Amino acid sequence: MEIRGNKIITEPLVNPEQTYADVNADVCKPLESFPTKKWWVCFLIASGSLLIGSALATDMFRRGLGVLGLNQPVGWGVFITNFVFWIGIGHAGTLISAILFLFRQKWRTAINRSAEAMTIFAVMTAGLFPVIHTGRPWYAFWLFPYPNQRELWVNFRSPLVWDVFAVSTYFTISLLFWYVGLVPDIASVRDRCKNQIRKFIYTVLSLGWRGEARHWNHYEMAYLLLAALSTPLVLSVHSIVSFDFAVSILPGWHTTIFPPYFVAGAIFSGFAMVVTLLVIAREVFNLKNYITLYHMENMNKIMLLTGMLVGYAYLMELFIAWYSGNPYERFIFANRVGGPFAWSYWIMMTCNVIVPQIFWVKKWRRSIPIMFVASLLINIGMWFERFTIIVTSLHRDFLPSSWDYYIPTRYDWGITLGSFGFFFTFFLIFCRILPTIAMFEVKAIMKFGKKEYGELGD
Amino acid sequence: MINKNYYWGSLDELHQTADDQESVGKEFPSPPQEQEVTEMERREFLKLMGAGFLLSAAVSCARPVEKIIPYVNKPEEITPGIANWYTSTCMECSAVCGLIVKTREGRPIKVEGNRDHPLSKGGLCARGQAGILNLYDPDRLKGPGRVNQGEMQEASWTDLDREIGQKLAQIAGSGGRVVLLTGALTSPTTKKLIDEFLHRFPNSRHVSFEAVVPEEIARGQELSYGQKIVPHYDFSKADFILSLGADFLGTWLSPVEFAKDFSRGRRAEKGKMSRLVCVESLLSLTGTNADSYLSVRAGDETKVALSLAHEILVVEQKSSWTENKEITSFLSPYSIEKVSQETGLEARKLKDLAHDLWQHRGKGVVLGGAIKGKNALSLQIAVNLLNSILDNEGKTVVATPSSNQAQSSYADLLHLHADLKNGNVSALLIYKTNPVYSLPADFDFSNLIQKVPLVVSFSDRLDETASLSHYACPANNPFESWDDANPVTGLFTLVQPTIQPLHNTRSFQDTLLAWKGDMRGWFNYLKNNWQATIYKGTQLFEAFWEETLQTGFYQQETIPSTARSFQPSSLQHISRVNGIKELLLTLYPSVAHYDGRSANNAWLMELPDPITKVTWDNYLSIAPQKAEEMNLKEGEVVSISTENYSLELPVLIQPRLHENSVTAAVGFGRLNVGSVGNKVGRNTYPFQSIKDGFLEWGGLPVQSLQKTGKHYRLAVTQGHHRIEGRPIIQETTFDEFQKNPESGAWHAQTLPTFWPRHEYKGYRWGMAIDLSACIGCNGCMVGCQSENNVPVVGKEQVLIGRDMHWLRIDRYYSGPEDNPEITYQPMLCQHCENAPCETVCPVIATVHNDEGLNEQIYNRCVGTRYCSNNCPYKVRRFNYYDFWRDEAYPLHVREPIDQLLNPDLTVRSRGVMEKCTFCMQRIRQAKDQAKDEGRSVKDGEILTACQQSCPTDAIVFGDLNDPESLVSKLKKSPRGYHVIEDLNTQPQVTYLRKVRNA
Repeated sequence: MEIRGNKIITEPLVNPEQTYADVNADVCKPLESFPTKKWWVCFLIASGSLLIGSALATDMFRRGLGVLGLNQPVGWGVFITNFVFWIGIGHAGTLISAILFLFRQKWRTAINRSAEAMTIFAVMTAGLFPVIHTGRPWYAFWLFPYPNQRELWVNFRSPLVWDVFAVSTYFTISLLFWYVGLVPDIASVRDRCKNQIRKFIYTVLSLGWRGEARHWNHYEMAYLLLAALSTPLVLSVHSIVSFDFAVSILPGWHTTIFPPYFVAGAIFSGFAMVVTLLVIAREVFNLKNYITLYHMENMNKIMLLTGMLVGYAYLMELFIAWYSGNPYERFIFANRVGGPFAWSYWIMMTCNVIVPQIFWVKKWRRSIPIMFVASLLINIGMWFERFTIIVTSLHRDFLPSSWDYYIPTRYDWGITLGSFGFFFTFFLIFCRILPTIAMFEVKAIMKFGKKEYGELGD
Repeated sequence: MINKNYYWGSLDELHQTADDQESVGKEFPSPPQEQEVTEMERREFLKLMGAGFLLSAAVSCARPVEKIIPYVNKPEEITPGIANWYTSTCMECSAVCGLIVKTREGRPIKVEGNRDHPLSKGGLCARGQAGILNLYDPDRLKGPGRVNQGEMQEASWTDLDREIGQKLAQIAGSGGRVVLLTGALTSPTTKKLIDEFLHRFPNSRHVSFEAVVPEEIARGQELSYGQKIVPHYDFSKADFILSLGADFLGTWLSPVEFAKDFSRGRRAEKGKMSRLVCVESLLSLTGTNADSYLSVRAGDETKVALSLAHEILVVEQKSSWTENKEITSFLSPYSIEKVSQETGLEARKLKDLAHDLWQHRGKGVVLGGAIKGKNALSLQIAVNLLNSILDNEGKTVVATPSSNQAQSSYADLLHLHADLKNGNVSALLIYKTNPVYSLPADFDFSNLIQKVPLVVSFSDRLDETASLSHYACPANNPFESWDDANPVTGLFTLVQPTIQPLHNTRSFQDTLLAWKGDMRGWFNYLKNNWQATIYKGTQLFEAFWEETLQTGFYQQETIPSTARSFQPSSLQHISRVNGIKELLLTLYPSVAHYDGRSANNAWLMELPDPITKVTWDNYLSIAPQKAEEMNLKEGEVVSISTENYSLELPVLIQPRLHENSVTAAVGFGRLNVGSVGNKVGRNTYPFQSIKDGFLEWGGLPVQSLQKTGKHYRLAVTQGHHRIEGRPIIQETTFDEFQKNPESGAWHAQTLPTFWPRHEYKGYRWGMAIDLSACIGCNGCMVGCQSENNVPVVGKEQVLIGRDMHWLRIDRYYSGPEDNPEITYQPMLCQHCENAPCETVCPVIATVHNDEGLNEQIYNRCVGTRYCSNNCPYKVRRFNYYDFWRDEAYPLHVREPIDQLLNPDLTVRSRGVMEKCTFCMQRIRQAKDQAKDEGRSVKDGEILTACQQSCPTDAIVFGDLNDPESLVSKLKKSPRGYHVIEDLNTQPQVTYLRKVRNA
């Protein structure tokens, strides 16, 4: 971005060479051709991981949760870490599609579709963990307040019940929002279909969209409303997830800073995941003309900002632990920094606070390899943030007599791998059957054909 | 030519035309047209439909019907759902405490202490309570048989009786020697029977041998006072106790009785608190409870005792014995200065100790020493001298009643050894003892036993000894047969059977009677003997018998003894040990395993050692200084060798241990005990040596102690030992307490709250635990486990940190590393008013009830484990596996363990949380009974399982809403506090501050 006189010259959001026809052709290409070798490689890795995870999970259901590394003080471990991690991942999607939409950030158009898809799949993945980590998952439905003859009800004081509502609401709204946004594009895909079955499916999915002015009118209003509905959810979901910890009495969990801290962390990790995914998607589906370095740079900037927010939170936690004078709190933070799980704390600190600082440099911000590695490191760092919070508070709580250590087993790791497989399998299938870029929105911001009429665009 | 009888159907057939020839033997004149079927044939359809039916039927198949049939003729005394209690006697060690056995629907499921018993007074130790599990041990022999090379061939009792009878008759005829080798038997009737049985064999002998027998006490008494007895120690009269290595709270003589009496002398509220000083070479349970602790090299206890005598007699010239030149001259080399130089103890401390002893003369007791300790006889004589010059003799140490625990005689054993070597034994009958396992290596018993032509074992399993025998004649479990016991002179107790023998076993006594040709049966024999020799009263015997069965014991009138005079000549038997500089290995019987007889008991295996908190193993304890010197870390495996034996053991660093001592428990490393106990830990018995006619396992000189480079993980239930300055343990000293009962108190500020408090209209259950009284013996843990169907998880799971004990005893160290103070704290569900677990459970599986209990509803529990995370006391236990049903776990339910379970509460399934309920079922039962009788529950009517068995009465349970109840008085006691009060959880469990006698 530069300023010339009174005019702001911005980098084009889409390669200016592209025509409207190019958009349709490029975006729909993965849908209409046999998958490429790159896609197959990714898909086999993803589904293979899913298979490993499922096999291990099946064995876990058969034998019991004992196969995990959990023990008496450490009742939650890798699984709840994964839950919070995946919910966090989901955040960037809603943020990009809803909040940036309300703020009229046009650069969102190229990435919002995939980011939303990521949200959906991440929330689905996250939703698995609270269920499978229960001792009796076949009764996990008891967490829903459904009418039953036994007149049993849920405990509305428990943050886990709040979680159920927060996550399911979030999932429902995100799904609707995503689907509504997809309708015009599905109609475009329908119109290009040659195969009858394919055409039928897309016809059903496009809900009779014909692109009439009235359709557009309703669409715009519905989308705006859903965007407005989703926006508070971005903040509420992770706030409520953070209540799982903040409402308890454990030192290191019982902290008022948690809601904003978790939201910032969620956006941070969400953007890191979007960057990771888009770097791959640009490559695999050849979308470099639409998802430009400008998009990536913007996301890196957000990561820089949120990274510093979480960094602030980390330091503030330490400060408050010292300042409050609470001996348990002090101990737990000293234990995080220098105790048996210090390695996890320092992974978190390095990846989340130090690594994003490289984005101060414009050249690095715009370098695909650097941002790819950085985004991966941030994902790892954010995973360890949750791990640190959960495990270090549990393993040494109030009575020193029950202190213990926690060693995750191959089941913990394998099922975590399986969750990545689950997520990526869905994501890759999505890339094959639905347009990964909101075609109609991209067209709206293209300068193509507008110049002649004198700078109608921006 | 056509036969007249030929019937024809058509003209064609008659004329046998070509057409006809073709159709002969065919069903249809023209072949049926095969239908063009494109879809499915009828047969195919039927096949699939059949399969479909079958599959759908298979899916809806019911489980096999298991019929239950009610009593047709209900036994009068059995009401389903109502427990019957029978008195009996504990046979887990020779202290023979009084028991009551709870039976439900005809099966014993729980044992508790008999409150009326004059010795144990209602207490029962961990081993005693775990005894019931031995009855249901699946690895017991199911019947008698012949044993060949350790293989069992089952046979009938009749065949064996005939076979063995013939062989015995042959031996009797040829004058061969029959030796009956038994454990320490205190049963007068069994002894009588044995005498009668052996009478037939001219050369026969009864030898008794047990690994832990206080023979040196009896010998010491014989030398000092001329009576070969084990005197009775009366702790209730003792204000000052000096223990020179005697673990009287853990394993020494009669720990339950002693703990009970000891704790009664230490109630700070009564303004009197006895003082306990321990001088030890291995850290015992008693040592951890000492008010002051001196650690010495093994064998130096004698010197300490003599130096004290020297100070009193020679330096201070106090006692009337000062005149006795024989004594004073003997004592001359034992001045405190010299002894302090030799032992490294501070002279000041010894002088103070001598002073204190003299101050408390007549009201103190001096105990020595560890059984089978180094130079044990010398120590006993020195102790006898001290007790005599302090006038304790006849007051706290009395000859009547005397204990019958020293039944064994090493002389007999050595004689037997010689006989075996010479091949002089024709038949060896072995009952209740396991010499192959528990004798020293150089005894070579396993080879010697094979020379004996007839070896019969009465063991309930093919243990190390029984597998080398020729015949296994398994005796009944004590819960299956009659027996009696005579723990101290004048006290006789009965063992009642509470169940028919589970297997085809027969009591040892019945077997002897059968071989003797006596057809009366053991019960009649026993009863007759009681009538003839034991009962001294005037009542009708039958009435007496009924009454004794109900009370469980019979006490004869005895004349209290007076002070006996010490014979100075016995001092000549004190041998002087000088200048031992090398490391000394001391073996000891552990609190949970004693001599290893119940090594197949999963409860005991999983019971953490009171001090080290190690389960499922023995190890080599080593002092921190020594470990540092040798650069040893916990869990490192070292190889230790003495003159007799060498072994590899993992290291455990034990603060307070003398730096020249290394210690290891006996009772582990069994090879043939069963699926639970086989190869758990290492057998240390072979280290024992025979010295001056004594078996000795204390202070064995270590020839080498080397690192092996191997590592081994010990399954510890508590890995951190300090309280980190948190308000968990509160303590004060007795002096401070007397000045200000609230000294040492710390209370959290009470903050205002918006929330209404729980209201309790009826009862409000609460508990008080006295940290001053608790000695950390772990009895309550087994009581709880037995009462509440608490599973056993096995070593691997303990290593991960998944032990399931609802009640645990936390042990904390405080103060300097080499001699820290030790505090025990029983920790169980605190039933908080503001329970952190209750608010976080999403499905309301844990709730507060209207009597103040925090309830866990198992069948509502989904298993999120949030409650456990949020519990600041970490007393909730999660079923990570199906520990009761999964075959991978030691106590999984199989025949006959299923009969052990308490039917009053469920066996929790996999995936649910469980925790202490304050013995909900007992509360329920008492409330029901009170309701039937139209009254409210009385104070003391409900005893929780932990409270019932506590030998020191440290636990009190009751109604906090009743201002007169003991528990509500204790709650208001100035000593009362809550653990981590600053969290405002407001527990129903009040801890009473520990008062130390500093």
